[in-house]
Amino acid sequence: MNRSTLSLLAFSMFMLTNFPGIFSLQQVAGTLAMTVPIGGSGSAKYGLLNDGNQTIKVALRADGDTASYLSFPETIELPPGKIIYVEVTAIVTDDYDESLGGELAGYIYALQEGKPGQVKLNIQMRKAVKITIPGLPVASSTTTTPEQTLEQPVLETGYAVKAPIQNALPITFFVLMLIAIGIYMMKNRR
Amino acid sequence: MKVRLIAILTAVISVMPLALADAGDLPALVQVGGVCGISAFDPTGLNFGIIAPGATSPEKSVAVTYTNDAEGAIMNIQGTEWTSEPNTMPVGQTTWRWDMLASFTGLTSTATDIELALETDGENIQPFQFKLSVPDGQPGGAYAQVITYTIDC
Repeated sequence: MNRSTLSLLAFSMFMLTNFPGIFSLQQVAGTLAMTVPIGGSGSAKYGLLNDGNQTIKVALRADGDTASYLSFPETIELPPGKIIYVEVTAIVTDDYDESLGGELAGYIYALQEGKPGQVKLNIQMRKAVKITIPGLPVASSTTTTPEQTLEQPVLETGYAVKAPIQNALPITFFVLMLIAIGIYMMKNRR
Repeated sequence: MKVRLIAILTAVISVMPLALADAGDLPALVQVGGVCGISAFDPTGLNFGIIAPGATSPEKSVAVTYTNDAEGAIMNIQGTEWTSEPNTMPVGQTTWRWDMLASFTGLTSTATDIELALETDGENIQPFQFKLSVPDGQPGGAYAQVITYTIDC
């Protein structure tokens, strides 16, 4: 086994062990439901999980009737193996147009961009959002959200779930060992 | 020298299973109300290569690894038009199919739903096939497209 073979082996191991996890985004099921009085605010937690082995960056955006009432971070970093709960706040100001009714629906999207290339493949999570404004009738809305009864569970940030937690450290250690052997061999040849 | 190398490699290979075992799953700490998501594309992108105007590419396959243990989860697919400044090519020149589609259908810029089965036993792999047809007279260039898989649960 020569030096180049060893280098190739180490590089292959690095590629195999580190790149498959780049794409990996999951979300906790259920609608983000908030009851917000006029002039008040409410919040809910949007659970996102990076099931890979590297920290990933995700872009968040809102769409639908609820979009203009919501605030949340535009981007978020997700460390591997942990559910991160993003705080989503809804504010209904005093000048709310009551003709819009007492129930607003929309979505929040969490986007993980893919690898650049001829066709880039992106992963996106879509989360239904419902804002209920007490005391107002429900008006017909142009945005529909899927029928979901399960509400988003409210847990503290950082809870682990049943999803596998992949620890890259031992694999990285193994790759480093291979590289170390390569260097050792090169030194011994001289 | 060779003997020493073999000894070192044997030692490394013998500890490898231990290292990999340590990288496995950790036990559950809490069960929440289901999750859904995508954990891999294989390959990580699509490349149809060079296609002449009026020609169609060979089929390309992408295996999507997803998790869905939430009732009523939906996956959908959408794309952007092909661009190679200043030229464009319609999104629908890319066609796709999966198990439940008998024939290839044009990709759209609006989402097309793919109903997912409820799967509670971990990750599932769903293959998708893609083709690209380049219209006659399409100006040459390095065109690019974005395809987005969305999961809702």
